[in-house]
Amino acid sequence: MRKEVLFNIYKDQNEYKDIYILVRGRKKRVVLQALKGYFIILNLKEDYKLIDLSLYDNIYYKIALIIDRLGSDYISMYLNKWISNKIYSELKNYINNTS
Amino acid sequence: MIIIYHCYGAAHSSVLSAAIHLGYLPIKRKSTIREIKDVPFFDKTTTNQIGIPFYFGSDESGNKIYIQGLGGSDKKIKQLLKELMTQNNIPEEEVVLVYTLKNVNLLVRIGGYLSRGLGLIFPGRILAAFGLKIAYWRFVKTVSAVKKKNC
Repeated sequence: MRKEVLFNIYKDQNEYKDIYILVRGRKKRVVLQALKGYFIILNLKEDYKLIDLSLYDNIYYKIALIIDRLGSDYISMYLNKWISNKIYSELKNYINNTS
Repeated sequence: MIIIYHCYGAAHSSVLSAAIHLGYLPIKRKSTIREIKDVPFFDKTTTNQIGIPFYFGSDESGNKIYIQGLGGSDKKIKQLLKELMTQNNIPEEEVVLVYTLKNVNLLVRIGGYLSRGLGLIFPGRILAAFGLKIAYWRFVKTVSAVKKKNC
């Protein structure tokens, strides 16, 4: 499986929102700086909101990380998508109220 | 078109390549150490700035030239750019990424580490510039190939 960096986890049909995960890792700052730079140089509209899910870190992410290190990208990605989607669903109302 | 020269920290090899591309440094003779040291951005970017694409100038064909340090996240960031372009219907040929770190020698690596990593700017900068002078023709070759293909 191709390892994606920015992958779609959630499509909210009612609110026309696409939610993406920016893959985590040791160099998160570097990747974020690159993302912001690319928005500028490609003249893209910066209508995104970053939600740091590491604040809601839980056992599933750790399991996903271990599975990834064991070599199964697909299961790891699936687990990441599932848990991120679950957290987002729980946070959705709070995020909408604060934005 | 956008041309991004990228290396580890956007301090040495990408800066030299962009400078050759834009004519700040000669293509027909080797630059002197002083000329290399005087190039804007040379040995200036810090580790906190890794990841940020810096605008370096526009060439005679109107291509925008950027330099960028990708740290150790080359694969991730390249994939990120690719996906961002696909999602926004930007043709793949619109952005050219040129890897310049392959041209550096041990002197540049040691000089870069001394200057950017350890903060020993004076010896590090001289060593890096000297190393780049030695490897100069490799950079000219890379830049010439990029210009031939895209300009």
